[in-house]
Amino acid sequence: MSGVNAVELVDVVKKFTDVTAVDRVNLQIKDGEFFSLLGPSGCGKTTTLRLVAGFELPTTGEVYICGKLQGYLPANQRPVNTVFQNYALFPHMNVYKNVSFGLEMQKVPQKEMRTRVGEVLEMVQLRGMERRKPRQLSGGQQQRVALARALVNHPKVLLLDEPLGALDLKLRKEMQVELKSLQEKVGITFIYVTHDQEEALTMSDRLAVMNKGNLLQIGTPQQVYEAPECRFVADFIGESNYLPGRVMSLKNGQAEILVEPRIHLWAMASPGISPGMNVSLAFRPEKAQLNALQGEEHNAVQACIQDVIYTGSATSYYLRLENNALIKVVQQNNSVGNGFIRQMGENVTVCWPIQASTVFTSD
Amino acid sequence: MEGILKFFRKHQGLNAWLMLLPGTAWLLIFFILPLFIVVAYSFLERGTYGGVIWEFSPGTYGRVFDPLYLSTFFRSVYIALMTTFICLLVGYPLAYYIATRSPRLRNSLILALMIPFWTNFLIRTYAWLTLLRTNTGLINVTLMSWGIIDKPLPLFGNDFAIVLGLVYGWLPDMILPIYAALERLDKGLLEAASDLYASNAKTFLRVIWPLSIPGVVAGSMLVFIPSLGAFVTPAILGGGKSLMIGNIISNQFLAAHDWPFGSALSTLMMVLMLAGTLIYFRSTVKNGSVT
Repeated sequence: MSGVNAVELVDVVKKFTDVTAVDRVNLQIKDGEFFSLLGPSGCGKTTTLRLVAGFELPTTGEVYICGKLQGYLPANQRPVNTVFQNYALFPHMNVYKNVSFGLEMQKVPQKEMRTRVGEVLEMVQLRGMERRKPRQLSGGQQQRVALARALVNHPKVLLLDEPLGALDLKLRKEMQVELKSLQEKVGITFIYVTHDQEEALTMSDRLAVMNKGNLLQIGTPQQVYEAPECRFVADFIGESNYLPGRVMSLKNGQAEILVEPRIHLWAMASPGISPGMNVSLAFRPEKAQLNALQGEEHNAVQACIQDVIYTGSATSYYLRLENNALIKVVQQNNSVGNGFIRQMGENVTVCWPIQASTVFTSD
Repeated sequence: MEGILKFFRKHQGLNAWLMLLPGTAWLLIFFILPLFIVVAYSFLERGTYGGVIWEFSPGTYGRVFDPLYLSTFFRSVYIALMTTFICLLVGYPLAYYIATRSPRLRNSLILALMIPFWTNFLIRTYAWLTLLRTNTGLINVTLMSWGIIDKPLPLFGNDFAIVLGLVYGWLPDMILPIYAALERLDKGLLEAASDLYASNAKTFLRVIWPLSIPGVVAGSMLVFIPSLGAFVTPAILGGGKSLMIGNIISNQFLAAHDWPFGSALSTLMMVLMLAGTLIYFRSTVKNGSVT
């Protein structure tokens, strides 16, 4: 299957009676990758997943799985399996019957069925639970049965709809690691829907950020974090500081921004930026320091520390600039002793690399 | 007044007993007691013009095992089974249809189902009589006047009419429990089944039907038991010819003046129905699903 994308969406639109849930989405998901759809509630990520699964049919556009157009094929004829948010385990069947259900429907012979179910239960560490009913299992165990039930069919693509949502924090973190290593071991393409940006960053090879039915940005976690292409992405993933200003000039791919009344800053110019435009200059709190730095590659502003919040491994500072704007700087507490944390009221110089500044048009 | 309130606060458990008292008293006086009276009567001697004589007469139960009464009993079981089966055949798809509509439409449909039942049962049964009667019934008169048939169809005074009347009367009792079970079904399970390569038929057989069984059991009992003991419907639609066990029992009290015999028949019926219900219940609930 090399060379062919595992899943491809071409100009896919899905409208329900009064709302466009998916608005012209184009997506290519590579074979064997762990791909996440990330966004807030109602952004269309679950609908997109359901379009691949076959629970919904696109209003316009095409869905391809391994190069084959799916058209009007219903879910039971597509080579994909889903792990549902609430697991949807069959309550009247025990674990064995739940997991073997897909194999039974495909008329797999009993002996092979036993072997495959045994293998997959071993993989999710549920050996010995075959006779239990879902209501006799914990949330984490039910989730693993749902996973096993889908994986045992060796689907071309595994679809996961916020599968860890119902678990407590500790279990969720454990399962994230388990899922990721499982995916690497099995080599199946995973499409993972979540609203938790940290989860998406941790697990994905690539991710797509969606909002209001639109696909805003696709990239590796690092790409999306370091170079957000629009304000929503910069906001949704991690934190950002925003300084409103006007573009004064452009030079060598960098833009000079005037932040009223007298602050001159430089940022990486994104396409479409031209002098005279009203923009927001954005930079992430951890990219800045409270030290004056030499050289042309940094922005520097004077600020006064308003608030110091100690969080153990790091310290967050809230600082007020000359124009009364408030910014946040986060520094790792990687020194020892008592003197390295700054005090409230101190006047400092805040510096951050020009390369870490992005510009968004004000809209 | 204060003394009474203090008394009740001191004896908290009494509150519960007091609340149960009216219901329990009612059941005791109007249900348990008459039941015991009926069972007692079955062991007594009959009075010449009705009533009983307080003399022990154990032979009454022996008379039950007469071929006449036994055949009527088995026919009643047959009619009740047919009624239950047809109600299931008709009622299940109806319940399924209603359960898969939008919430607003669902409520309207349930209402539409219930409205005929605000009309008196006797009147509804008589309505069927006017439709089904051999020479003067609406169906036969219409079909004959249109020349479709030249002899009236035997729609009345037979098992057909009785089953029809019973099905009509008890259908909602089959539909509602099944509807409740289906409506409660997690629709996500249907998607999961489809995701796992199940066809619509397989999804029904392996997911929907098993999970609706509690509703089917409840509905079946709610239809079978009253159908077995029916006497109004066979009296009106049976045309005096088809009799069920219920008619024979009511006959003993109203016409034949043999209360002990009627009581014996009733007691026997009750014991059999209780046993049958328990066995049915046990065998289906054991299959995993609990209501």
